Amino acid sequence: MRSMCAGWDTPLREPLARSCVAPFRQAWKRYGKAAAATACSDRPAERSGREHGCDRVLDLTPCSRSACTRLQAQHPIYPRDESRLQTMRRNRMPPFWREDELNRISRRLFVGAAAGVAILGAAGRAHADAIQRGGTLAAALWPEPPMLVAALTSQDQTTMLSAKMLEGLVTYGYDMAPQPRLATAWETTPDGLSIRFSLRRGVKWHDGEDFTSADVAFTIVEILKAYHPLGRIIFSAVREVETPDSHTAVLRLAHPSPMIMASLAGFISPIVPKHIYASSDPLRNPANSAPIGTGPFRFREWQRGSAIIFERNPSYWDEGKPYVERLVYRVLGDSTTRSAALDAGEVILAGPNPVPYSELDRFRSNPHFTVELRGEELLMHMQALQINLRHPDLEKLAVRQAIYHAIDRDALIRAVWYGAGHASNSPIPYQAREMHADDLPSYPYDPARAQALLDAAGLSTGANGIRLKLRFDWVPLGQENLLTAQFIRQSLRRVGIDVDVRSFDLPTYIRRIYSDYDFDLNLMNYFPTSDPSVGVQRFYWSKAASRGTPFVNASGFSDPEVDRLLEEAAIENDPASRRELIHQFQHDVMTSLPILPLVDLDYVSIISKRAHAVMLRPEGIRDNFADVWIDP
Amino acid sequence: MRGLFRRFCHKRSAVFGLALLLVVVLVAMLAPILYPVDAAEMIAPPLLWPGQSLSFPLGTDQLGRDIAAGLAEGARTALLIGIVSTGTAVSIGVVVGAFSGYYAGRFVESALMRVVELFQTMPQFILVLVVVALFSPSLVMTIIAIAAVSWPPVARLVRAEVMSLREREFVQAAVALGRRDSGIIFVEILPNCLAPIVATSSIMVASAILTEAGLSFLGFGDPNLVTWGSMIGEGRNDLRTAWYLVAEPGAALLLTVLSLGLVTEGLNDALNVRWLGHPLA
Repeated sequence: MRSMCAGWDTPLREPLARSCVAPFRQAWKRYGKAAAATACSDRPAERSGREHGCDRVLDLTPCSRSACTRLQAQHPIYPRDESRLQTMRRNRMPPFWREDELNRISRRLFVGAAAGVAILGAAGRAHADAIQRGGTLAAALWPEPPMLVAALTSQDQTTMLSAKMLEGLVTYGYDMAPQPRLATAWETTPDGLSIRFSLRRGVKWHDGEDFTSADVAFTIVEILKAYHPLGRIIFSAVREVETPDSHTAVLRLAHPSPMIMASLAGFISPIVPKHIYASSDPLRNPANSAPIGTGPFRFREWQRGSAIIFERNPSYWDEGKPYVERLVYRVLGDSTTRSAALDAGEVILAGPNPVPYSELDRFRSNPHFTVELRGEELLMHMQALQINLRHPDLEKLAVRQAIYHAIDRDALIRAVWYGAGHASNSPIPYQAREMHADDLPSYPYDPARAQALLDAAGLSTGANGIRLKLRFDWVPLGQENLLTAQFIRQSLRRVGIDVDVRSFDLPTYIRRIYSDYDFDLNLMNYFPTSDPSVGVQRFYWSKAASRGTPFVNASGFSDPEVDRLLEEAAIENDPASRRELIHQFQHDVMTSLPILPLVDLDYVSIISKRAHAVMLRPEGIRDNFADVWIDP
Repeated sequence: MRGLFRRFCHKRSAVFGLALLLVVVLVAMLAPILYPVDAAEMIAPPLLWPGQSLSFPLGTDQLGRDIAAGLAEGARTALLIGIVSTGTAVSIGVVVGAFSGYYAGRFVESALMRVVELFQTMPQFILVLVVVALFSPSLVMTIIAIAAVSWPPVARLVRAEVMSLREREFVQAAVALGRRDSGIIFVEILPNCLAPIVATSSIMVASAILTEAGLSFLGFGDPNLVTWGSMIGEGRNDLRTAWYLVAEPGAALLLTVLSLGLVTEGLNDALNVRWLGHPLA
């Protein structure tokens, strides 16, 4: 039976006739006649019967190799018309789903069921609210992550996969309020200097060891605070973690730090097993590519360059969950391929931004898919222009204002992002709701005003209408950034600023911008995260500037008032006063403009309607998938 | 010369290639007159299909840039890169090849040939990528990188020609008359191996254009220039919704390279009068 899972990665457009014979042979060779018969009927034979109305196929028990081949000869399996092709694609399930079917239902029943797949499908839809167990959820993955443990890196694909196996202390609701996960209760003392977590009892690591408070203390102090790029910031206030008993962990803080409770989601701050990580260098631990966690899924297999497979953890602490038998993350590097794989049903979930923006409308109008904007609330995405204030002209506020006025952000969103975003007016995006300040200074598109500001700054047009020549760098992550660079180049040229766009690979880019400060304008993307002290502060705080650290303050911006606001906000436990400080901060930096926020991006995930309960929480596709179930 | 042209015209495909090439050259030369506005300027509604608007017969791309203007501008860039890099490569290759061929068996030859082999053992395109990635991608860098990898074949070719010509009577005569080595190489020998050099260099222009397109497609082209490769690379994401973004520059690239290939073939036949089967031999 297992042989069939080897065939799951058959090419999308494989002729169906061949797809019957190959697994048949394979199964025959490895597991004998009975299995081979199953493999055969499992694949296109019954499909061809369904498609061509051949009764002979429907009682194909037992199937023999010759019968199968004869049948194909009688019925050319290539579809003739487009509508039939579509029906076939829709009904064509990759064999690994069917394997589970076969495990559950007797084969005869299954062949019958296959004949009446339409009825079954309809029934499934009718009982859409009844949770179905089993099945394999296939999702698209790109690029292939370097490792599978998010405690050591914030690489997006790592966090997505890690979260299925390693869990955080809490999870979040859409109101951003923490909800129990590995911790069942928590309490911050009134002075804000200690947080006590009561841990869930009866939780076991995948290798059978007990989960205890020692794991929590070890993870926070020895791993997250020491190695995680954001963890260094998040847990900077943690002096020590006390473990009065095996299921209580108390964080002792140097000063109040509200960002901790906002950053404990499993994909940002996962808890790792002390007994695996304590004895060696965590970065070289073999468990980084075969993690041991507490989560609903266990690591099964990493086929490099092809797929990463997880299987259901039968002893998960939340009894009965997860519902899905197996998760398969297929490595699909090309956006056009992902789009085709979604169409063909080869993957039923992909994100974030799996397909070219130009194809989003096609998926929006397709009744078999949901194009989800949710599930990015804990990270969020911004596109912004970082300005090097060391430049003698860019140092002048009027020049920075002029550049802002010269860029038509609405046109940029329409042309480059196909409308998937909002013109930004703050370093904190609109998705952050109450953290986002209203009535900030606004810089509407106004080339005439930009020209006037440049004139006032003493930059008059020389020969051929050029006032100023600037270098422009863009972070080489995605085609959209290059198009944005070209868009801005043309926009600035209209007001007399000549822009020389430079392209670098990522390591060179990071060195030029964040080590050498050798840039004028830098187009960047960043996660503001749900807590501004974690995601936004680093670009504005003068003390965050550090040569060689990527994605921090490289502008040379230093404003004591902004520093004060940020530092106070980071340790202010009262939500209302904290909001006030953050609003004041936005007001200040939108007046002094060391960074020009361009677009609040709407990242999307595309999810087949066959998958349910993916977006229960703002963690979305980065959640642990314990509640997710799929239609059979 | 007239004989050469007559022999060239004897082959119909060569004439077709030449005509096609002339069109490309003409477009490239007239581009600043036909499209006075910068081809990177966003002047129209985005994603107009070809034929949808008379002012933009080939349509517009995602940012509303005129594709026709881009193709004309791209022709200029392509020819510029093709001709300059080939010119550089041929100059280096001829000098290296001539000296190593003339001094065959001596230290100069083995030293030069080891350098040639060093370049030839590395995959050309990867080498270009590395050179461009090391420095900031720009037009000059692209030309240098392409020239740097395409001279070794010329050197080998010229070396072989020179080695065979070196033993001829007219060279021996020049030696006997006491001409200096450099005089013999440049005045006596090289003019006589012009034919294969001309034929090789026209196909080298084609491969330089293709290499540049490959670089731009991968995002290693000069981001300030509109090239066919960058147009294809940027249109790739929209392949399913607006295939013309890729098809049009692709066709331009195909036709240009095809025309150069046909011209090369024609030149090769026309110059190679020693071939006995030649109809006009």
